Amino acid sequence: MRYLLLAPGAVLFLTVLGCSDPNWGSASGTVTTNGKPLASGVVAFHPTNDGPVAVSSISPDGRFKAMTGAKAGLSVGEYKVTVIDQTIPKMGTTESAKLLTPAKYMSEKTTDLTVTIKAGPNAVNLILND
Amino acid sequence: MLSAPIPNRRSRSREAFTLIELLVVIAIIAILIALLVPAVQKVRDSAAKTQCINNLKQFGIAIHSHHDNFKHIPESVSPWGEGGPPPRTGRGWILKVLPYLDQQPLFDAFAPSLVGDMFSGQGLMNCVPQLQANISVTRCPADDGARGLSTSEYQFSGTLVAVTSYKGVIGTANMGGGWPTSPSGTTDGHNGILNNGLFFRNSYQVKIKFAQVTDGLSNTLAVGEDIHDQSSHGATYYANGDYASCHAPLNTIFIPPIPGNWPRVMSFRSQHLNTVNFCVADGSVRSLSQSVDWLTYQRMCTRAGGEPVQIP
Repeated sequence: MRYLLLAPGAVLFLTVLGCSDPNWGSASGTVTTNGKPLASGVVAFHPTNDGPVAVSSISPDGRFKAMTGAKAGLSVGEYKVTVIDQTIPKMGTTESAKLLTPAKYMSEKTTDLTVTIKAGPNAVNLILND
Repeated sequence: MLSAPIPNRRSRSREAFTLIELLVVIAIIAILIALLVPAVQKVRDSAAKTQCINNLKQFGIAIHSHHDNFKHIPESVSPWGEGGPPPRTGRGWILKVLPYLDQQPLFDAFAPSLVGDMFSGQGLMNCVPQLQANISVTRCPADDGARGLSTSEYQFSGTLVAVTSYKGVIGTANMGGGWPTSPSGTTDGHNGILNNGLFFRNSYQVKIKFAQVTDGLSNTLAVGEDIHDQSSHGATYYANGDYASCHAPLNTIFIPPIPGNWPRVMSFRSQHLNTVNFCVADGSVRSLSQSVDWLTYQRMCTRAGGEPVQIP
């Protein structure tokens, strides 16, 4: 009888274990520029091989958490990371956006930020230098 | 006297469950429910997706019916003076196809909006109650933010209006320069007439015909889905709420949403697992995987880019 009680517990444990995908990780952290958190903008993770781009907005305290589509996290592997913060032009005008972060972080071709995402949670702290 | 309690005890053990038995039964039921709930959720999601595809199909048919009658794709009329003639009514293309979505009475009710400029309080502003008509064909069941009315739409701040999950494809215009790494390299022309897609707010100045879709109707995306709360550019019948761009990677979703940052968020996305539904210009509906290559996706969004591309 006691073993019967253990069985459902074991099943639940295995179910939870089965949910952790070995090809999926999360990425969260902060963006700092000149020692201060970047208060707005967007972080994008561009895979070095094929795959979707993961993105996150940057919250006022500089924190971000990458999403792939509607799902939190991203596939494991190597990524180039771009960070862009711009002014928001007024709608209905021909005003264009002004870049607030160093230009090299704008493109995956010029950024020097790279990160390897492993299964499970990944702490990614990005430091921007002029 | 001594033999009496024994049959009593035996019969009591037959009539009641022990604690252990009860716990086991509860545990088994719990496991069964745990197995069932995700299955039910999956069925609900797939029903929502089917409904969404149906809605897009209706738009496909409506656009073709409109083209049959008017010999051009339904047009939008910008409220801004962007080179076009007055009246700058702000009427959007979804309003224009209402008769082909079984909404002739609603279309007729919008007749007063044909007069005057919207930013002078006329045009679409003559029809504020009609702007609240929340018809189901414009809403994806998976898009919770489009279920009710909104008071936070651009240019309608504080005014209650219905919102749409479906947006016309403007092409690859880099809205406000929000995605400087956009592989197509298209600059921002969303307020002009040179957009490379099918739906933009000044399309009343050019009135695109199917014959001008030289990439082929079956190779060009026409209407796609958006998650309303991500962009707050969604007033259903309004020329600046009914289009989005392919400048961002497909299915770019920000948590928390940043609708105030319009250059980054006026793109296509969905709540369906890893796919976004599109109505193709030939009237068919496809589900695009979010893992589609960024440049390939952008090529599907242009009507005359001359690139070899096939929609999967």
